[in-house]
Amino acid sequence: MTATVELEEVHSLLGWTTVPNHKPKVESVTDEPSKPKRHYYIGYVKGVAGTHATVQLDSTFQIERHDRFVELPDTEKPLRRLYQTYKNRIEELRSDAALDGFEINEASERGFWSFVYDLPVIRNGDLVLADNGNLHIEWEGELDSHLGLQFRGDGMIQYVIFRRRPRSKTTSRVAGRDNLDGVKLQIRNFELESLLGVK
Amino acid sequence: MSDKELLDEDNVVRHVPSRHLKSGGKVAGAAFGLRDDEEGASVGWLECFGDIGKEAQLVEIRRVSRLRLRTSHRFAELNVGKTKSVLYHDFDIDDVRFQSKPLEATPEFPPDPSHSEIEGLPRGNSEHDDMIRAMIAKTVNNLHLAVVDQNQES
Repeated sequence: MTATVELEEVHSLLGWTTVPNHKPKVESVTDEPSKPKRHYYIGYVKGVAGTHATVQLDSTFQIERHDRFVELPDTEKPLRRLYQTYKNRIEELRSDAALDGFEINEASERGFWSFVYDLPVIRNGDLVLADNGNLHIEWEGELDSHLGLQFRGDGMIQYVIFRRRPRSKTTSRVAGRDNLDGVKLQIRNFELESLLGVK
Repeated sequence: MSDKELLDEDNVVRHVPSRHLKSGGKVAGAAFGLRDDEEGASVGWLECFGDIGKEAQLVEIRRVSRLRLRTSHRFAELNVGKTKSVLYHDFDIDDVRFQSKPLEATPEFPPDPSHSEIEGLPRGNSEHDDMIRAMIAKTVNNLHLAVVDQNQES
């Protein structure tokens, strides 16, 4: 039995955005017949760069559980290694946080994965965990360049940018809060693609 | 023991758990977020133990620390004057003070004459707060092991 789930709604809940020529799509959405008292919808969602996810929504379309996967061809080994590095680091952070009695904000973690899957960043950033449970990632480069992102978990990303252009003595400092598309725009405006190794 | 403001030439260390550490011996701004139980960011004042050398000062800092120290943790060293100067020149923040706040002995812990606080740091989670913390992290001069001998892990 196929349920009527608005596909755009699923994308929005996952935090995925549409990129040109590669629109994520839900391949299948079905009821879970073994759960008669509540409606569960399980979807298989295909995203960019070989990402896909299974999603379980409750009757109010809140995500109850989702698992994201990445299947990359051999030509994308650096990206695959980077995703594995982040996955390992998140597990380290999770263990460290548990020792001090708190957890990673799951919505923040989803926001982080949305960012790295949607923007093909290949330069490893430093992933850290603030005591409010939110993930932060930072890149640093030449001429004091710095990009710091905090994944707030509400679909918004808080950014801090330090950037000194060649032959300039002053460093521009900007901080703000925006959605994924807005942050991508800031990265372009400040010519930070090389700092992140964006393809 | 009485409170006093530290001098520009003084140096302090901030306890940094591994979740706030970056690669290459650097510290993320998150290390300077205030914990729920902190009024100001707690630091240890190295020179309060006298002119005994950095390593000996760190031995004392570890001895009097009331935090649960683990081998993966570090102490991030800041120079008071350098950090205040960056905050003043780059952000026009002139009300950050490094204040000595010694702790009396308790049944569990020895007295901690080095305990100090960085007062006036942002407590919030705004983008501007993130920027200030990132700048403070860039003024860290050195990272030191929080635990030297694994058997000493608390």
